[in-house]
Amino acid sequence: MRKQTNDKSQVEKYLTQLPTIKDKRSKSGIYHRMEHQLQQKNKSSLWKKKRWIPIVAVLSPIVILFIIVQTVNLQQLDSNSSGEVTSEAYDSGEGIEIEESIDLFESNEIRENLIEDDEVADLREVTDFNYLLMDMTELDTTSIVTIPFVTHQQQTVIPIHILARADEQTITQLLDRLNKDMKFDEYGVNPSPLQGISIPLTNNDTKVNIHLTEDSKSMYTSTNLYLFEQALHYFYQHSNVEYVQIEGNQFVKDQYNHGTLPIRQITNHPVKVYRSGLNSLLVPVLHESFTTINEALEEMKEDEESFHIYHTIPKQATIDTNEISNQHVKIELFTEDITNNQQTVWMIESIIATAALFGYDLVTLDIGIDFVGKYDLTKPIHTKKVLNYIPLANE
Amino acid sequence: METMFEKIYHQYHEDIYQYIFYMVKDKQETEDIIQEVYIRVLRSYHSFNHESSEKTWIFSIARHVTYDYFRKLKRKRNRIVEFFNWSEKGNHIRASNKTPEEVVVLSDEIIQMYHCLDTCTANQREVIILRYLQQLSIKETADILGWTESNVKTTQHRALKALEKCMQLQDEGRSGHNEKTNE
Repeated sequence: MRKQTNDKSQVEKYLTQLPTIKDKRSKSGIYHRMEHQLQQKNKSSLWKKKRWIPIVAVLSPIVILFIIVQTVNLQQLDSNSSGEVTSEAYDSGEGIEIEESIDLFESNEIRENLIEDDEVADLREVTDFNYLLMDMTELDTTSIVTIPFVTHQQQTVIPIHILARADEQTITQLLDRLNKDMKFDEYGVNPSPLQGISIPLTNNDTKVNIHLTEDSKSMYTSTNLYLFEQALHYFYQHSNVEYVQIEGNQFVKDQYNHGTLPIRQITNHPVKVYRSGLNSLLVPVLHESFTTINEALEEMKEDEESFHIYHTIPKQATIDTNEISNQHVKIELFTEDITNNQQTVWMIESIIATAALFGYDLVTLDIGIDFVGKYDLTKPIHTKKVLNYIPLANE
Repeated sequence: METMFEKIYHQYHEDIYQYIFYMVKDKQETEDIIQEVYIRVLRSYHSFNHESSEKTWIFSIARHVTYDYFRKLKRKRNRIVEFFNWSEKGNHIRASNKTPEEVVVLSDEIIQMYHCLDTCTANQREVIILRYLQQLSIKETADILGWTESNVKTTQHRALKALEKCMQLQDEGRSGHNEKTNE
C-alpha cells in the first residue's frame, strides 16, 4: 500500500535514495574525445584568425578603387559650370522613374497580385498549423488502430492512431513497423507496453485471452501494471471486447479476479496536451473524471507539470456550457488571449475531444472569432474524430 | 595535460557527472556538457588562484557550462514552438527524456521523486542535488553557487515544499485510480 503522507523527512529520505547514474564511457575514451574537441576548437580559432588575411587582401584593392572613382566623379562635378542643368537632369531622369513606380503600384494588376499574396499567406497560415485531430471521413476507418504508448517518464498512457496495412494481423507486426518508421523521441513516448504480446488487431468476441510469459517481469511494479491496464483499455475501447483474460504469468493474473480484467469505458475525462518531445499530443487525463463537461473544461485550465501535461484553455477564460440536446453541447468561452493561432487550434481540438468523451456528437463553439485554422466555428462541429493520428512513411 | 585530466577525472568525475545529469536528465547531453567542463578546466587551470577549494572551482565551472546549455536550449525551444506563452511558468526545466535504467528498477516512490525534480526551478534543483545527492554542507553549497548560506537554506526549503506537493499530487492521482479500479 502506498504511503499517503510525504512530509519533509520522507521527501529527504527519498532524495538520498536517488541512484548514482553511471557514466559508462571509459576514462581514455573521454580523454580522447576531449582532446579531439580541443584540437577542433584550436583549429577553428586559428581559421578565424587566418580567414582575415584573404578577406583583407580582397577588400583592399576594392576600397582603393572606390576611392579613386569617387575622386574622379567629384572632379567632374566641380568642372561642371551650371548647377541648374544638373538639377534638371535629375528631375527629368530619376524623378520620372519614381512617378512611374507610384503609377504601377496603384495599378489594378499590382493590387490583384497583393490580394493573391494575402490569400496565399492566409492559406499557408491554415496549413502550417499542427492538427492533432483528424476527420474520420478523411481516413479509411476500418484500418485505424489505436496504439497505446507510454510517456518517456513512464507515467501516462497516450493513445496514438495509425493506419494498419492489409497484411498486418497482430499488434506485434504493426509495432515492428512502428519501431522502424516512427521517431518516438519526437513525440516524447516510449514503445507501447503491449510490445511483445501477441494480440490480434481485430476481434469480434466480447472476451479475449492474452498470454503473458512468466518472464514479463517489467510488469511487477504497480506503475507498470497500471500502464499495461490503461493500454488495454485504450486498445479495446472501440471494439466489442468487454473482458481480457490474462493467461500465463501468475503474478499478473493474481492482480485480477481470476485473471479477468474488465475493459473500462473511457468517458468523462478532460483532454489536455502532453508535451515532452518536439511534437505535442492530446491526452485524456484518466486520473481526473467529472460529472459535467463544464467541470472538465475548468480543469483544462490547469497544468500537471510533473506529468508533462499542460493546460489547453487559458486560465482567465470564462466558460459557459449549454446542453442543446443529449448529443449537442454549446460552449461559450471568452478571454482576451484568443486569436487565430496554434494555441487556439489545440484548445478547440482538446474541447472537441473532451466533448466526445462526454458523449456529445456535436459541439458548437463560441469563442469570439469565427474561423481558427481549418475550423469553421459558425457551424456545429462533429466530435467523431481520430485523436493523435500519425501518418507514417508510405501512407 | 593527460596527467592533469587523470587527476581531475579520479577526484571529481562521478560527482560532476551526477550534478550535470540530474540537472539536464539526459545522458547524451550530460556527456557533451562534461566534455566542455573538462576543456574549460584544463584550459584555465593555470589561472586557478586557490582562493576557493579545487572542488568548488570545478563545480562552479560545471554550473556555468550547464547554464550555458539551458540558455541554448531555451533559445532553440523558443524558435521551435511558442505554445505555452499563455502563462510563463518561470525558469522551470522541463526534462523530456527517458528515465534511466538505474531509476526504472527502483521503487515507485523513488521514480516519482526522480520525476518530481522536474517541478523545481533550476536553482532549487541544483541546491537539492548538491545537498542531498552530493551530501555537501550548506557552506560548501553556498560556496559553489556563490550565494549566502541563508539563500541556500531558503531555496532548499522551497524546493522541499515543491517536491512534497508533487509527491502528494502523484499519490492522489494514483489512489484515485485505484479506488475506481476497486469499484
